[in-house]
Amino acid sequence: MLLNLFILTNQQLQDYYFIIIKVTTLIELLLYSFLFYHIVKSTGFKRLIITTTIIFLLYFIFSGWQSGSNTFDSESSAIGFLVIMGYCIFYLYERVKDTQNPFFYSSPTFLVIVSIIVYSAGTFFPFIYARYYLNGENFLVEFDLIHDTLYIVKNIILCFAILAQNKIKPDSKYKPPKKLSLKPK
Amino acid sequence: MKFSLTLLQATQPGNNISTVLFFGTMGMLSLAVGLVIFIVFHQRRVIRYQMQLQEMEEEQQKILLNASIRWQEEERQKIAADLHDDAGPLLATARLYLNENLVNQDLSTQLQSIYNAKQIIDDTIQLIRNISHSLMPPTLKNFGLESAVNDLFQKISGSGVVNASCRFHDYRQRLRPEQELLVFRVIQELVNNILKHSGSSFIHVTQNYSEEHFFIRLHHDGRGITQSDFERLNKSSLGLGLKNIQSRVKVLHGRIEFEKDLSQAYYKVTLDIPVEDAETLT
Repeated sequence: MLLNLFILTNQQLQDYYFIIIKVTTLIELLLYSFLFYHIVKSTGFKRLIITTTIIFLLYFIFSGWQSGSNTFDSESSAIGFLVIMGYCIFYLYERVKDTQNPFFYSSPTFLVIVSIIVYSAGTFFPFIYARYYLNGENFLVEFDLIHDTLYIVKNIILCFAILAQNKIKPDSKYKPPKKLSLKPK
Repeated sequence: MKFSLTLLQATQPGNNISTVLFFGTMGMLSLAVGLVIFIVFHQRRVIRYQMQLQEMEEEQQKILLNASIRWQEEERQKIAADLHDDAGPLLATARLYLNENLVNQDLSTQLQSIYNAKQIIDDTIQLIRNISHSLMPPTLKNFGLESAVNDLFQKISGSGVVNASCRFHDYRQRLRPEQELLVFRVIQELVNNILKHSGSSFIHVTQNYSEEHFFIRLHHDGRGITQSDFERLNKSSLGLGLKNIQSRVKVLHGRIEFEKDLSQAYYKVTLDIPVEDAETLT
């Protein structure tokens, strides 16, 4: 929303709107990959994340170049969505398998994943059709409605995640002395 | 919030696009929310199940602890009864023979009294030795499990009631002393149960060693119990000896199996203990 507002207020940037959208999509995916790389425990999956990110990056550049600078790149969005959902499902599967920590669903990380899942799933179809129907006014209205609503829902869930993070008590400020002398003073 | 875009051609998307968009989005959201709800409910079920397991484990621990305490008290009472009923009267009788009036008696009477007192004291020493051996057999400490079990079975056979025998096939790799004591106690308890409840005419113990596991098999031809009976008795307030057996097997990190042989002729009990850092007999 802020990006759209920024572009609206700058006439020069409106010509590059779709390029900016493509770049933000790429940055979004890279950030999500970075997040999942740090929260999953399986080393095999970490390697898969790196490989998938590199492959998607190459595909994104190719697809973006093919689609041009005046259309929305729906294919990249769809593939990006599938990749992110795959990461989310694998993360949830890993957490469910770990019986040592069954309360993971009350952790802030879980809420972040839920926000990603809800936003990605809800905006899948609008982004798929955006390339071919973005010129239509009705579609624009519906697109805005769906996208903005889910954006707000995602941010609300992220707020809950931040509040949940703050509720976790920080480690005690006490630190034992580094050298313990047993000699009597 | 509307924003303006660069338009090449104004096209009007049909109603079917709106329908697809609406239902598609709703469908995807339903799947996503359904997935999240499924995960949450699944985890809650796992937590409930783990708590139930924990409660059952605690309950079982309590039962075992109570059984252990009761067994200790019974052992103490048994020792107290042996000392009070047997050793006490013997020593009192010896004291009678060695009273102050002995100096006034003639020599032969004195000699007879001293001899009688000595006999009684010898009997008392033997009695106390037997009590001590039943608490901790010295054969086990000095010569190992095989000798202790042989000793025990010889005493049982000597009574003539039951034909008891044992055979250790491969005991070059001895268990640690604390393991030997626990295994001996388990065998002792099993044999006591057999003698008390089964009415068997023979008891045979064999020992084997296979793939880092130490096996003791006990066979008898009386009335035995199966594994399901063992588990049921362990959960109930009865079966004090069996609870002690289970506690000891748990400490050994082993397993015990009660079963009736396929030939239906006898019952067997198999004790399986993993062997770690065992001593090797040279």
